Amino acid sequence: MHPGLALDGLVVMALVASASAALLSRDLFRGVVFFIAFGLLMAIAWVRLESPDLALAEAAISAGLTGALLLDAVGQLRDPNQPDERVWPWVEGGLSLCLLAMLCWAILGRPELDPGLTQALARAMETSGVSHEVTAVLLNFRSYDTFLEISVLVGTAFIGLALQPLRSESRLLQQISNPLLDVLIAWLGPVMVMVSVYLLWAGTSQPGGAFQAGALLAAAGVLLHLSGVTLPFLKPGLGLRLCLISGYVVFLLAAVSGPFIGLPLFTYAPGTAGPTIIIIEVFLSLSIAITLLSLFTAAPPTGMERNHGA
Amino acid sequence: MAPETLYALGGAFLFVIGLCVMVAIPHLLRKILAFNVMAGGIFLILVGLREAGEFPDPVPQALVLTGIVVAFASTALAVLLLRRWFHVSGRATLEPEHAYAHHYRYGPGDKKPEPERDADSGSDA
Amino acid sequence: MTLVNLAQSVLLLSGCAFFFIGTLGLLRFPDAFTRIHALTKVDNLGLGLIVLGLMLSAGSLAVVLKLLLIWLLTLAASATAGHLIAHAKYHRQRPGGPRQPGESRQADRAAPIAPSQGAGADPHPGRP
Repeated sequence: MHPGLALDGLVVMALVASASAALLSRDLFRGVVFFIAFGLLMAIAWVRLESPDLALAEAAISAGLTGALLLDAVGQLRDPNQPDERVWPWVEGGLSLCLLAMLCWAILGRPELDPGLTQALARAMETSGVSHEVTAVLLNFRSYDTFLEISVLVGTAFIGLALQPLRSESRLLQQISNPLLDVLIAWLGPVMVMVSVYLLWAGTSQPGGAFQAGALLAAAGVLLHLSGVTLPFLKPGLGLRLCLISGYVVFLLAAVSGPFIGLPLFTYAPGTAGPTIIIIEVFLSLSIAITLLSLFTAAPPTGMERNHGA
Repeated sequence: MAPETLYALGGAFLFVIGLCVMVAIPHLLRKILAFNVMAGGIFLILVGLREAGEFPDPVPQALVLTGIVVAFASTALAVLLLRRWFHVSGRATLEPEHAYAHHYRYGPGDKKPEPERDADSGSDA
Repeated sequence: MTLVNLAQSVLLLSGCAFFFIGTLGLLRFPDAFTRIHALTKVDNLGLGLIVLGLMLSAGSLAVVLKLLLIWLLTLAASATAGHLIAHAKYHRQRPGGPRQPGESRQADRAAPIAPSQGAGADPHPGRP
């Protein structure tokens, strides 16, 4: 028996338990707190599965940003006069159990997996320009997927901004003016920016990269926003639009630079893969940060207006 | 059993729990939570299906990294739409009022929720 | 088992024990102020012990400093978060503070802020 199997069993049981508690608890706030715990347990699961990039991204994005977003939403949505319902779905439960049985049977009885692309990847790593495999796959070998992802993010950002209320001071934040918080964000803001730049740079040879750096920058922005600091670059205008599309445009330029030299699309010129990847990653993380941050802040007005009508 | 297979089975559990809740419970925020749980389950299955003890395959890791970011963007947009809907209509479900009251049933052993006076409802800081 | 391994095991295990105690406090304490006390003090001490244990097997000075930075950041963040939660809770519960829908004035009169809370010193010593 594998020595760490007991720990893995505990982590899996805790994952299932926290997910059930998140989805089925009576109080929405409690459910969201359990969801944050679920995100952190997923980060531990990624560490156990030897994927530190995923652990970083899951902790920053799923536990941190999604948790803050959902807590914000629960604070506005919860109406104590309308109690949460609790139903016992027999039909859906039965069908789900059948699906679970089929999935478990498929996972346990799988045929011999072929080694996948690991051998081909190891052979091609020196031409990729970076020394970390996941970054190489993301930004060189499968850069088309990352390009599609950044275009999805840009589209989401524009839809989110389109839903934003027109008044620029519409977000009536309850100002938390607390000297301890001010000192904390005065220290923590620069530290978070520094750590995100480090993550971006370290992504070429260690776990890290553009997504984690962008998520950390977005988290820094969310912290500032929730502390009542107004972020002037989030007002709709030319600066915001430039930041949002810069990742997409730079990636597109790098992708079409191939056909100008006679190589296929999404192929970088030989020898320039390293600098190209770093330039793309810089703009990508900036774009991701601004996108995630503006999706967080583009919300309807707070509940103060809700109590007066609607 | 290899630890990776254990995580893949756990991912299957998470997917099924999320799917069941997403289909059955009409409250929109719970559906969004269920969507995230389903996504987590699928990611675990993607990375967990490999031979025991082998070098971790970077290609599924890259795909799951992309998936995590896109899942957050979708969740953020969904929450934005939900808050817009709540602001406009005052409800957090898509069902009409009379159908929503029909779902309002308790299972065995539940007591009616009373307004909590103490520690746990502290989200409106 | 070398001395370093032994020291590491002792530090890691005692860190986990402190986390366990902190979680026990979280589950058993009656209200928010005492729970914050358990979470911020006990859990940070547990984290410090675990970080010390990990430092013993760190490869270089950079890793040691990064671990120290992790501990300091967690300390600062949890202290501030605990303060903010306690601050908000105190101002909500105070008679005359903003009332949440569903709460009644009866609750404020029946259970005033007792001076024997575990949140350390009385935040406003001059208030009756």
